[in-house]
Amino acid sequence: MRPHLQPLVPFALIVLLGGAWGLLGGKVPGDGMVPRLQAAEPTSTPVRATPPRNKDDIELEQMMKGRKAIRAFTVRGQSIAEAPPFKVETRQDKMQFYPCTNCHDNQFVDRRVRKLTEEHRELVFEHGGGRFWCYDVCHNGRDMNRLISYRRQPISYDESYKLCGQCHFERQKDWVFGGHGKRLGAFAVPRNIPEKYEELKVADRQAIGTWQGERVVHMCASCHNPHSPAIKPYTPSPPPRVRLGLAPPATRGAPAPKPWQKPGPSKGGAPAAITPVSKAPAAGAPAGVKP
Amino acid sequence: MSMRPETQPAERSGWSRRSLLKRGGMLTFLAGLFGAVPAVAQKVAEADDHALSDAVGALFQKHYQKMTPEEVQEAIARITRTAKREQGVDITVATDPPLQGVIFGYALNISKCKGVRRCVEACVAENNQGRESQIQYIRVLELEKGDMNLNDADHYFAPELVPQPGKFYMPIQCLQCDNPPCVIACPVQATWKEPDGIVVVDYNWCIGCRYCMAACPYWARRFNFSQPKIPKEQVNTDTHYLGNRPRPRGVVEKCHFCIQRTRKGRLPACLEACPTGARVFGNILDPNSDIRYVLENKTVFRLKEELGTEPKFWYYTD
Repeated sequence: MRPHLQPLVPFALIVLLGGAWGLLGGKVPGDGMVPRLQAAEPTSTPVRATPPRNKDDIELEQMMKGRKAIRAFTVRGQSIAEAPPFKVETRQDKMQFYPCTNCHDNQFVDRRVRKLTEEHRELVFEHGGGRFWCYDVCHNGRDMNRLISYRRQPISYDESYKLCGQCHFERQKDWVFGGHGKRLGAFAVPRNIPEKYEELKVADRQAIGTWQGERVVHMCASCHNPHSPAIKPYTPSPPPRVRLGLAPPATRGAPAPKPWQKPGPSKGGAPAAITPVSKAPAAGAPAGVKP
Repeated sequence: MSMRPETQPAERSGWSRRSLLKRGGMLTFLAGLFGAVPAVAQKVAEADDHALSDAVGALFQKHYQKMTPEEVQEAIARITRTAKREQGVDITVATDPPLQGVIFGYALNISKCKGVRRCVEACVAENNQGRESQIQYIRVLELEKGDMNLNDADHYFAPELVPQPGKFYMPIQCLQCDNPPCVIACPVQATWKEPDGIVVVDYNWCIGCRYCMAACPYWARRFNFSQPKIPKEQVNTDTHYLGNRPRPRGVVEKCHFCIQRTRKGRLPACLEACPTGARVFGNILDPNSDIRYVLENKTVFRLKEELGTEPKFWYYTD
């Protein structure tokens, strides 16, 4: 074919195909006809049989074959089983005076999802957006003194982090290596740390946690309520006092414009464009006077 | 004429009866005088409860790094006496040396920090900062999400509840730089970096010029414009010479990673008091420590890293 005719090839093809369509009695749907639902028959639309596999795809596939899942391992390739040893605060021994089986006597398990009106009314089921019920995942109705895993294996309350780690495995990895959570120390319940220094009693210095030696960490449930695990807002401690003779700065307005929000040099001339930009932060920032 | 030969031998020897009495009397007098001075000084010191002698002793004491152990003990005796006299508390001043093979590092999770400021209060209680001067080592900044311009930060925030939507919180304390500009700026070398990485201040050697405050890019140092006053029952009596011992007026102080705790293997007070568990402390030379896990596996950054101060305080996100 001559080179100057090459751009016309698609048009020629369209004309030829259209002619063939007309010759074969094809109708255009919509002009008073029943729409042809069978238009999407397999033969008319080409189905891509196999995805294209170029060299990179094959290499990637082979590379990923011998590779562990990254997110469950540290950068050094340690799994949570290889974490440094640690201890957790115990929970099971506190249950001996009032075990769950006092009431849950295993004779009858009411598995119906319902609003709790008699007991455990304080529980708010917000875990997972409220999609769990007691006996779905965590509790076994027949053995309430222990928790239960997905594979229906009992889990002691002292090892409840294993239960949490079934879904939150990545957070569990952080926790066993020390990147999440807190070591046991002077304050048994992290939520109840007093707000002001006058109320702080850190006199018992033996209770302060250690950074070396034995690692004793808080369990998941000492910070997160298992039934409603999102951390609730706190009341903040008082702000620092403003130095005598000065007023606290006014609450900041909008933050200074981002570099990508600043208008560039416009046609009106550089000084005219720069002046409002330089004044914008100055209007909000100093504000040394209380409004 | 006839007397001369008789007296000559005595004069030659220099021990006539007269001179013997004279010199002996003078020696006795001098010995008595010098013997009496310490006794009198003791009486004077006891009369004002060692106030004058302690002040003079503190004035003439040497730099902490150049003191002999005995001089350190004398200085500690002066400090404890002064605390007993002025505040009525019995404090213990430790001089725990840096631990071998330990460099302290700190990491703070700004995804977890909610601006609760419990760390600030625990720090004040632990480190004997003046209650009237209200010196606080930790400054919790409130920033708009997506904004890292510290000029927009607000550390006087006081909402009902934290965290506020659209905000994040970033506590700043002394970052214990490995290349500390404050140490370079100090004209009398009253502040230095210990082998375990903590930048400390000798409060007796500090002249209060505040050059270090000007040099610090993190606003980490505080100046005692007044004598720190603490109610007797709130004084933390477990102190360290380079840490939370009573400070005089007119000296600079700063966060020292709770040196009185951490050199005994304990955790800093701010970490203990954090209800969110955002803070991680440990030995960055120990490959199995918590902080090493954070540094290796998390997205970390250091504040104003481009200044080359090499802080040993990392911020990280989940």
